[in-house]
Amino acid sequence: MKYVKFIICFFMLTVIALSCLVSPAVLVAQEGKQDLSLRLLYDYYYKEVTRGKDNALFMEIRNYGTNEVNNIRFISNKPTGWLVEFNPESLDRLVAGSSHTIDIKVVPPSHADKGEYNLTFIAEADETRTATSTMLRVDGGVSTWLWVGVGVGVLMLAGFIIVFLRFGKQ
Amino acid sequence: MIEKVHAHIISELSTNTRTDTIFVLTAIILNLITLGINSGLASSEGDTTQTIVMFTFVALIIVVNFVAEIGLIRGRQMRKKLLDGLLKMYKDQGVEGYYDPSLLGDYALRYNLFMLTVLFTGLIAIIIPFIIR
Repeated sequence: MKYVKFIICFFMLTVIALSCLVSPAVLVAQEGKQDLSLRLLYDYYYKEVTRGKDNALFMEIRNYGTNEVNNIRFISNKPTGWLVEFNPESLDRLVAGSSHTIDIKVVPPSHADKGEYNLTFIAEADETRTATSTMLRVDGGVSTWLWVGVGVGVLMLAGFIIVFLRFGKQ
Repeated sequence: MIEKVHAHIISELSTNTRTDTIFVLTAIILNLITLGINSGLASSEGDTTQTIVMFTFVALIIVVNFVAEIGLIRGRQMRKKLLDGLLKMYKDQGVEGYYDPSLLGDYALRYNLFMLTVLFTGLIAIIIPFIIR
């Protein structure tokens, strides 16, 4: 009899403990899951962009959650002087399991120094928020330093010719 | 006496060759070392200190290359004078037929090529880091 009481008590305690552990998950499942994802193509990491020109990127937004996401606005954290435009600029809603492609126009300033720049794209909805980032590279083109180098080189060449003509004749 | 003068001219010629070799090698090695240093500076995060260091090395390249050029021009002129004296001596001794005077022209061409090599390694050492930057 003593053992039966012990077993019943143990069983009841186990049931209470398990119900405590399970209940939060059950509550979440009942409320639905918010899971919004932003994804840039893999190729866009360290992509070369041209100064002063439109550079097109494509981004996919997908709702992995179980509920609809409403009023999604796109914003960006960008270096000073850079222009970033989204098309469309916002989405009224994105139903669960669906996705949408966003065109991004990135314009670095024409005086941008050569180097790597970090850009963060953010999707902000009424229910949730997500972000993704990429590193873009300003390269190529003609920078001021190139002209400085060429100028010094030309001066040295001219100096060499003058010295050659001046001292070579003696 | 003429033998002593001949030995003196030959000694001067070998000293002249050694000096010119030092000028050429120093200029080329310094150009290449500076190319490496300035390229490293140019590819790193640029700040004012690095730019000043870069321009200091550029000034060094310019000075050393001009010194090398003037040294080589003087070396060429000195060699020509020494060889002219040697040729005159050979002529007086009646052995000028053994020394071809066109060698003087070859030496002049060789000196010009050395100067071109110094000039172009110098130009590369100056311009490449600015392209990288």
